[in-house]
This record gives sequence, C-alpha cells and structure tokens, in this order.
Amino acid sequence: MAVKTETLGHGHGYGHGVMTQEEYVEQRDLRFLGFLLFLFTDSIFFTAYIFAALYLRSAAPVWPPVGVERPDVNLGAVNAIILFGSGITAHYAMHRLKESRLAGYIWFTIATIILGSAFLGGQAYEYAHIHATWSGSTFGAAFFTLTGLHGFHVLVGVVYLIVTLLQSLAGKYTPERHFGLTAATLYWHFVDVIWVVLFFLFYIY
Amino acid sequence: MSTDTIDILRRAEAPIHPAPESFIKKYIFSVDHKVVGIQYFIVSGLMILLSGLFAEAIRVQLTGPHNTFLTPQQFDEAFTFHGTLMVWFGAIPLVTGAFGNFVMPLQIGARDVAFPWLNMFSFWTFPPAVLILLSSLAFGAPNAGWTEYPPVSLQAGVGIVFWTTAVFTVGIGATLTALNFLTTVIKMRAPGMTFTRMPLFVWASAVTAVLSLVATTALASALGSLFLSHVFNVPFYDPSRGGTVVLFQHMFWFYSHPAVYILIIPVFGIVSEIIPTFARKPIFGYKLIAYSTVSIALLSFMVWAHHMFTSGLGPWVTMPFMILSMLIAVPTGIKIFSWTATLFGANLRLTTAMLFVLGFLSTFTIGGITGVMLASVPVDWHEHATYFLVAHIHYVLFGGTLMGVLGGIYYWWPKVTGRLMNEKLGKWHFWLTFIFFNATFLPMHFVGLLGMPRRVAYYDPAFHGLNLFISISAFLLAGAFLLLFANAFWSLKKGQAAGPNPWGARTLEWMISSPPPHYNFKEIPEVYSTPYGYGEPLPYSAPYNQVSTTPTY
Amino acid sequence: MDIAHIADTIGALGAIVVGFFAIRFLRKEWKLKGADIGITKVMLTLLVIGCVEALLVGLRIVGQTPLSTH
Ligand code: HEM
Ligand SMILES: [Cu+2]
Repeated sequence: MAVKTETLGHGHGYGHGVMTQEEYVEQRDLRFLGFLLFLFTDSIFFTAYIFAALYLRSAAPVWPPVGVERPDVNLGAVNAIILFGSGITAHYAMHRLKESRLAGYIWFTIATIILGSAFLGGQAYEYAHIHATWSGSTFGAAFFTLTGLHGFHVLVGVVYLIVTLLQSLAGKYTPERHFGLTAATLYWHFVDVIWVVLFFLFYIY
Repeated sequence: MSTDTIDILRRAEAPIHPAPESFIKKYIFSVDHKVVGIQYFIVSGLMILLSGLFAEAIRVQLTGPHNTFLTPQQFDEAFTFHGTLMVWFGAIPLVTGAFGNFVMPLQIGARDVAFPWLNMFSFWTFPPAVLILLSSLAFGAPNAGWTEYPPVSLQAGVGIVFWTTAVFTVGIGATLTALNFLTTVIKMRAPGMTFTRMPLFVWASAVTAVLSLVATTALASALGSLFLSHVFNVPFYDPSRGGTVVLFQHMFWFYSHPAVYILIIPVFGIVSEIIPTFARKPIFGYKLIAYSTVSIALLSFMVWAHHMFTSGLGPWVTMPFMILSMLIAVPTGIKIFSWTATLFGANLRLTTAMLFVLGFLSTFTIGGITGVMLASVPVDWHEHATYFLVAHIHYVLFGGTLMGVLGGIYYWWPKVTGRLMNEKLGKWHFWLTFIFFNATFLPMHFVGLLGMPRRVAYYDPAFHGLNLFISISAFLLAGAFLLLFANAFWSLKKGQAAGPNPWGARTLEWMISSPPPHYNFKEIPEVYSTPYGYGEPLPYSAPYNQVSTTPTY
Repeated sequence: MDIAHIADTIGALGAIVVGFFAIRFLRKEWKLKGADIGITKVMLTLLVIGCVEALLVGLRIVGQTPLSTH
C-alpha cells in the first residue's frame, strides 16, 4: 500500500511532509466540512442581526423613522451588481484552475479582487452620502451594523483572494489539490449571497 | 477514492509523529487533545473555585438582613461575577473543553480531533478572556448580573466593555471547539462505529456541538450590540431613539436557553456512561436516550421566551412558549426513566462516581420539576426573579451539571492520571456534598415562594432564620470540596496504579493503557456493536478486545 | 439623462448579464454531484435572486417608496 513513511497518518490538520493522495482526500474532507460549519455559524451572526433589524422595524411607526433616509437605491443596485458580478468571475477562476488553465485563473481572480474592492469603494461612497447615522436612529443602527459587518467580510474576502492568488503563483495549488481555493471561492459566494438579503432588507423592503 | 480504502488506511499502522520533547510543545502549546483537555480542566476548575468565592461572599452578606459586609454595589458585582464565571468560564469549558476533549476522541477510536492546531487555539482564547474579565474589577466592574440586561448594564461604567469582550473571546473558543468536535464525530469515527454504535457521551458531545455552533454565534451578536451601544452609542436598546430593551432579552435568551442545555447535555452523556458501568448491565433504551438528546436540542431553540414572561409579551406569544417549555420535560423524562430502568434490578456497585450519579438523578429531577412549574405563565409571574428561580437553577446546575461532572471526575480520573482515587474519602466527599447541597438550596424554594427577591443585598428580617441556615450550609458545602483536593493529591502521591480498566467498563478509552499513550491507538480499532453489551464479548478488533472487563478497584 | 437614470440602466443591464451567467453555471452544475457543488448550487440560486432584485430596481418596479408604514 502506498503509505509513505514520512507522512502523518490520517486527519491531522497540520499536514507537513508529503501527503499521499489518499491522505489528501481525507484531509480535504475534514477541512471542507469544518469550513462549511464555519460558514454556517457565520451566517447565524448575520441572521441574528437581521432579526434584530426586523424587530426594530416592527417597533417603529414608520420605517425608516422620520428624518432618516434610505441609501440611494439606484446606486445601490449598481454596487450590488458589481458584487454579484464578482461572484461570477470567482466562479470562472475556479473552473479555469480545475481545467489547468492558469492564465485564465489568474485574470479572473484579479477581476474578482478589483470588483470586490470597487464594491467596498461604493460602500464608502454610500456611507459618506446617506442621510442617517449609526447612533441617530434604529434604522441607522441596523444599517451600519449589518452593512459594516458585511463590508468587513468583503474586506477579509479580498485579502483572502489576494493570498490565494500569491500562493497559486508560488505553485501551491494544482488541478487536483486546491482546497484553499475552494474555500476562498465558497467564502466569496457566501459574502455575495448575504448581500442579496441585505440589499433587499435595506434598499427595497 | 473509496471510503473502503480510507478505512484500510486508517487501520494500517500508519506512522505517527514522535511525541514532542520540549516542555512548551508538550504542556503549554500542545496540540494533543488529551493535554488540551487537561488544560481546560485546570483553568475551568480554577474559575469554578473563584466563582465559588464570589458565591460565598454573597452568602456572607446574606447572613443578616442588613449586613454591611458588602456595599450594594459590591454585592451586585459579586453575583455578576459569580454567574458569569460559572457559566462561561467554569461549567461550559469544563463539560465541553475538558471532558469532551479528553474523552470523546478516545471513545470514537481516533488519534486526535479533526483540527488539533485549532484545538490548541481554542484553548488559548480562554486564559486571555479570563484576564480581560478580571481586569474589569479595576475599572468599574459590570454589575447587572450574568444576563446584563440593558438599560442597567449600560448605566454602569466601562466594565460592560470588558465583560462583552471577555465573553465574546471565550465564545470564539467555544465555537471553534464545537466546529472541531462536530467534524471529528462525523468524519473520524473508527471503522464500523455507525452513529447508533457511538457511546452516549459521544452523542452528547456531538449534539452539544450543534447547539454551540448555532447559539454561541447568536450570543456573539447580542454581545456585539451591547458593546456597540456602550462604545458608539448605537441606539439598539435606547427607547428614546426608537430602540427597545426587550430586543436584548430576545437575543440573549435565544442563546442562553440553549446554553443551559450546552451545560447539561454533556452531563447526560457522562451519566449514561457511568450508570451501565456500575449497574453491570446494558443501558436501557440506548436509542431513546440518543434521540431524546437530539429532540431536546431542537426544542431548546423554541422556548427562550420563557425567561421573558414578565417582559410584557402578549399572551399569544407566552402561551406557545409555555407549552413548548413544558414539552421539553418529555424527552428529559425519557432519559430519567431510561436511567432508572437501567438501575432497576441491577447489582449496583456504589463507587463514588456512581453515588454522584445517583445524587444527580435525584436532584436534577427536582430541578426539572421546578422548571415545569416556572414554565407555567401564572406561576412564573409570581416566582420570576425570586429565590425560587435561584433554587431551580441550582438544582439543575449544581445538583445536575456539577454533580454529574464530579461523578465524571471520579470516573475518568484513573484514565487521566493512571491512579485510583481514595474511595473512602470520595464517599465522604459525596455525602457531605449531597447533604449540604440540599441544605443550601432546598430552603431557597421556601424563601422564594414567600417572596424574597434575588439580586438584592438586603432583605426583610422575616427571612433571617432561613437565610442564616442557607449561608451556614453554603460554607460547609464549599468546605466539602477540600476533600476532593485532598483526594486528588493523595491519589497523585500514593494512589494505587489503576491499570487500563479498573471499573470494568466497555467503551474504547478503557481498552488502552492509563494514561493513554501518545496518539492513543497504535492501530485504529474496528467496532462491531454498541459498547454496552455487558455479558457479551467486547465488540472490538484485536488487540482492543483483550482487556479484562472484571472490575479491579 | 440624470445620474439616477444612468445608474438604473447600468444596474438593469448588469443584472441581466450577471444573471445570465449565473443561470448558465447553474445549468452546467445541475447534474453534477458532490458536497461543494451542492453548496455552490444554493449560492448561485441566491445570486440569481439577487440579480432579479437589481433588475426590478433598475426597472423602477420596486424600491422607489421613500417611506413605508406597515
Ligand atoms: C424541564 C426542563 C426545564 C424547564 C421547563 C425550565 C424552565 C425554566 C423557566 C421557565 C425559567 C425562567 C424563570 C424566570 O425567569 O422566571 C428557567 C430559568 C432558568 N433555568 Fe430552567 N428549566 C428547565 C431545565 C433547566 C436546565 C436543565 C437548566 C440547566 C442545566 C436550567 C437552567 C436555568 C437557568 C440558569 C435559569 C435562570 C436564568 C436567569 O438567571 O434568569 N433549566 N427555567
Ligand atoms: Cu430556559
């Protein structure tokens, strides 16, 4: 059996040394499940604040409260589409890597990073122009807390993508072994779809 | 690649890392689940002691109706620290971090948890969190109780910032531990160990992990908003700007009701291990116990508002919550009856561990009954925030969680240290604990029913006699713990060598030497059946079926 | 044309393009199996919903009421 003696045995999360394909598959299994559980708990964080927002809304006679305005929905839609589009480029990048087309992977990842940063820029613009403050009203409280939390996640995602890009330039990922990339892509999708909900909550509903 | 190949690989004598040599790698920043478990045990044990000191300070104050031992301000800080330390820094890390880490991987025949490095990280969120919490004592300690309801919690000084940060930090560790445990149980069970062959403690650990994954993050959001309210003046909870304090109660209890099950479900697991071992017969209703744990976990997310019956929710909210809360008594009752049925007709061996479990059964049942009483809205309007509630929580948490944990300590001590404890001393410890526990907390029901409120530094002189009695019992109860320390030191110094399986138990951790070797299992065992088939051959592949199951203590 | 109309046009067109690709991916992945694919499917479906939101905003069907009472 192809067990290399310098390897770690199964499932040790801190794999160094050479892994056999079998061990890699098993490690990948563990880490994948662990990562999904992480995304799950993270989604609870958002869910809790979304419920808080709905609760505050139900306690207010009008929403947003008098004197407070929603962010501009038209610009918001453009910004949302920028973020959603970055989900598509991230998806392309992943596929390119699986098909061993490294150049395509690199360009699509760079596109994702640029779109993600553009979204953050749009957020900053919005923060600067909205007629609401964090401490002024419950709408502001919910809006800035949730979009701030989300913006933080986008920022982490951008950094994460940059790191995986550098790692893959250093040859860390191959079409067979790319757990780090799978995780980054999933995380990016996650950040995307959270915005689907938040966009509805603050711009439309 | 097929799962079969992986299984074969697991069973192979896969090469294992040499044990770490340096002191730091071995004892401080260890990735070994056994060491992490012991680290958790030590720190959370210290926290329980510290918390106990705060409790004794409360009881000193309450020896007289208008005592001046503590100022009202200090009194508030004392019960806040008592509750906070017990729940997040004592009991939860003890039942998950300590017992879960040490026992669960051994019981599923794994060499470690899924992410050993992450496990080490989880532990190391814990000591800093302790420091943050304790440093608040120097800057104006939090004083609104472990529940920290606004607006009171927001009126105190900067202490609330420390408090939220500390609990948040320890919560990160708890969440990562849960993630780690769940992955471990799902992916790393020994070949042949199907879900319905898992030891019940493993079931309990897995279900607790699910609770923790959902609830702890919800708590994090509640803590986050409290933090933001104080630091950035965000108006979540400020009615003058449209906020509402009831929102905090919802966010807090959505976590904290499941949290009481995070505190008790692992103990259900401990009890389910100890009872069959000393009854020497298969556990009654293995599947019932396992599935009722799952249903308790599900229900526990649907009952949080029973803590808020007096917060002005409409009857259309309180009624469903009342019914669902009472419903939880059904799966809990299933467990109690299954354990009792296991005891029925058994040739009981009354070791210290078993005595503590019997103590658990009786006191926890009383706590469950008072819980159902409180779950009834009209009763709760009368009893909410009185000493009756304090009696309830201590019958379930001291009489339940802590007694079960003490049983677990006496049970697994020989596995961890390789030495037996002194049974005679242990029995003294049990009887003193059991008697003074009841002497302390039973009268609280009465003063509570008579109307004595919780969390107040002074009380009506009419309650003086009972309170004095309670306080004296509480001091003696604390004194009984000295016997545990004496026993532990005695055992480490002079204790008889335990051998692999002193109790004649049948779960996997007893099939290897005590203490277990580095990497636990040289070869990963194969499992053919549930562990509880007393009287049958051991259901493991060789060499793990060689140990004698005759008790040797 | 004012800025809001330009934004609307970009938003609506963008929504159509992004939605198109999201649906195309979804159709490609639909028959594949595996845990990560399953999650990706859920994510892409939500992404399509997000595009519908943006499209409706761009077409000025939703999101135009300044105050809502409930
Ligand atoms: C049959 C099961 C149970 C029921 C029906 C029940 C019901 C209740 C109710 C209605 C309250 C709120 C009383 C009030 O605030 O007025 C309460 C409080 C509490 N329960 Fe239980 N309970 C049960 C089991 C448990 C268990 C197993 C634990 C922990 C191991 C527990 C821990 C607590 C704690 C800590 C509080 C007090 C929280 C505070 O500080 O306000 N309960 N219980
Ligand atoms: Cu509760």
